[in-house]
Amino acid sequence: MYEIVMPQLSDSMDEGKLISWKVKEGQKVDVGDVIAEVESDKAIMEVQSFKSGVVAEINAKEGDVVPVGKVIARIQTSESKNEKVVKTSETAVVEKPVAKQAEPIPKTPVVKHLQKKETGGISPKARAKAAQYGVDMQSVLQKTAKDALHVKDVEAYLREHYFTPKALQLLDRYGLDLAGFTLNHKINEAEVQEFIDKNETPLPQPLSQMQKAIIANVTASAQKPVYRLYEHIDAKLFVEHDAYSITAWLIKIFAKVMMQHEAFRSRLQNDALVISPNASIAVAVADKKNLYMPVVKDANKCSIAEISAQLQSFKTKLKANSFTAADMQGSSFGISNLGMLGVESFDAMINKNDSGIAAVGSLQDGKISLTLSADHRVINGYEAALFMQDLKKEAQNPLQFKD
Amino acid sequence: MLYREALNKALDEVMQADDTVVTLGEDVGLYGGSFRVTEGLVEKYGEKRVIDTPIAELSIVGNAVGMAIGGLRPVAEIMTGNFSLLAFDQIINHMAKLHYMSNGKIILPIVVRFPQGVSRQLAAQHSESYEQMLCAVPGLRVLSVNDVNYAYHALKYAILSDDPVVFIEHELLYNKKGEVDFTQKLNPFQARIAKEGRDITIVSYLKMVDDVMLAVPEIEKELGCSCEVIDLCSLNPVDYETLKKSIEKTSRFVMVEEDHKTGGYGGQIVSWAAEEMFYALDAPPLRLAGKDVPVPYNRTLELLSIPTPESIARDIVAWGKKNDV
Repeated sequence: MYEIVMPQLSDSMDEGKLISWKVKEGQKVDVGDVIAEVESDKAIMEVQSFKSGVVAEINAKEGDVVPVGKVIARIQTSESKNEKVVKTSETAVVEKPVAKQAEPIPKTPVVKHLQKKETGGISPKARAKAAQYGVDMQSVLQKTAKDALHVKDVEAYLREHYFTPKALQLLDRYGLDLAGFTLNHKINEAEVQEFIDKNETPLPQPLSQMQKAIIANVTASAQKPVYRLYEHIDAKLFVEHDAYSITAWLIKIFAKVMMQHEAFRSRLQNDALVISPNASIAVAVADKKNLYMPVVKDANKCSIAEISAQLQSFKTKLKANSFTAADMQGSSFGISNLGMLGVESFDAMINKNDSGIAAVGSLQDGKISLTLSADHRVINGYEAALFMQDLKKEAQNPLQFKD
Repeated sequence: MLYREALNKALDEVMQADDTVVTLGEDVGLYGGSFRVTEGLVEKYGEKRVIDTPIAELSIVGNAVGMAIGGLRPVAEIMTGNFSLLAFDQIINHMAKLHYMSNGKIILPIVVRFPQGVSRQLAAQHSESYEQMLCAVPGLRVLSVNDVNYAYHALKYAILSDDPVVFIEHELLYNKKGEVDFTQKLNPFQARIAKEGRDITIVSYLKMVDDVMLAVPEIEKELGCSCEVIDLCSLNPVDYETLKKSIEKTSRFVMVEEDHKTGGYGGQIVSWAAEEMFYALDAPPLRLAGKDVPVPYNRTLELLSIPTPESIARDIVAWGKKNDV
């Protein structure tokens, strides 16, 4: 059996196009007969047979692109059928004789990237990565307008070649690396999903605008020079008048005491202190997902019923997600209450533009814990201690809070 | 603390601690040093240890070699890189070789210090760089100083080390401000990562490190990438380990030096990258260096003859765009 392979017609040729067959299966051929016409990257050439025999099989169709060295036909030689397979040598290829040029040669588009191909134009790292996955980057280079290929291009090729679009979407959503997959077939969405399930890959959640805002705010808050005062205040008043929440009562009392301490109504703006004539208090309102600091404006002018109604409206807005920027403005101090969740005591981060915040704990033996966090640039410790004294005094005097 | 003050403090502390340390050179004594590095030392340690020499560089280093053979630790100052050429016979044929040729019997704990490079209109005979020749001499340690903290620690190390060291400074860095961490244990042969980054490794030394740092914001903005900047610190030996780690991470590499490009020192680093890091590179290395002309006196031409923050940014951005960074 004598094999005819795709000849290498030039140094740069790694595949050739089969233009036409000049023989059929079963046809007799003699030495020197033209078997086929093949197009290299430079010209159309004839392939001749070096032996006589019968065409046993034809392994490529007209129009096929075949890698150099691959068998395109087998010829059963007239010699014994047991002889070894012989391959054509490349010298079996001869230029078309001039006489034959009368025949019209089909015009085929010539690849314009010859220059590029000869210089390679593939970075060493990209070559190494391509070799790792058995990717033929030369052929990728032919198909692109780029002068050179980089690792990025190998990755793009692998993505396009081995994954379905839906699989890629999933891959990117989970931020998975291609290296986790065996790249020898087209990987579909189901296979990626299976990989995710098997490895219990967590799904990265992009941050919402809300989360980004909270992160920016608490990070800015951490820059403040903060100190803390720890106190317990008598909660008799709150227990006796439980028509209103502890938070509502605290806002009422804080607002009153803030009117006697202007540092607590002050905000630092650039190089000036802005002192508000009224006491506006930000309240931490949260569910599992969101955290807002809406403001009870001019709380010193509100009755306990009005404050309570405002807090109620905050809850409604939280559920409906309908807070506006205007709801968050104007405060100089904040209150955060986790007492109703059974937290005994804690300290809170100061809200973005405020000068302090009170963290309220749960009711224990008729008292609640109160941690005052203050920005030392605006409120000094002595002032804060006086504020706390006044606060305790007010809390023990329930009568004046009857509306 | 200023760069020159850090050098002064290092010299002062070592002279205080070890009375075999002497310093010699043109105007190091009464005048306080051409760049004020030796200021105040002659008052403290006297003319026997802070020695004003004639204008004769060969004799300055020749004397230092003799002193070292006799058991002292001399620190020789040469006024500028170009003048060190006159002392090259002593530096290369004696200082670098006697230890080897005496079967290790002679040690030469010498430091030869000088500033070099393009300052401001000092013209071709006072503006050159010679690290490429000095690093090609086996037996010499060559240190280059960009950072104030490094200046202090590396000079102390160099004086106390038994190896001959060429200690290269830069005229435009003497008034550079910086913090010195006196408690640090610094290895002077380790490269310094001046800035961490992910996408491009920019390697440099001496004053060019500062110019690269000035160029980086523009490069990062234009290419939308992040640059890692490495100050080599030691030019011989080279801390290839740090370079290797960085290039493995970024896969792209730029070498920036002030010296003329042909035969310049950066060629060694790029050649190492081609030999050792070939399969880690995703782009051809870029080498930015001075033009192959004697440094012009004219200020406009002088700036055109060497890399500047503007030209570094422009060239790296163009290279980055071409190579798909």
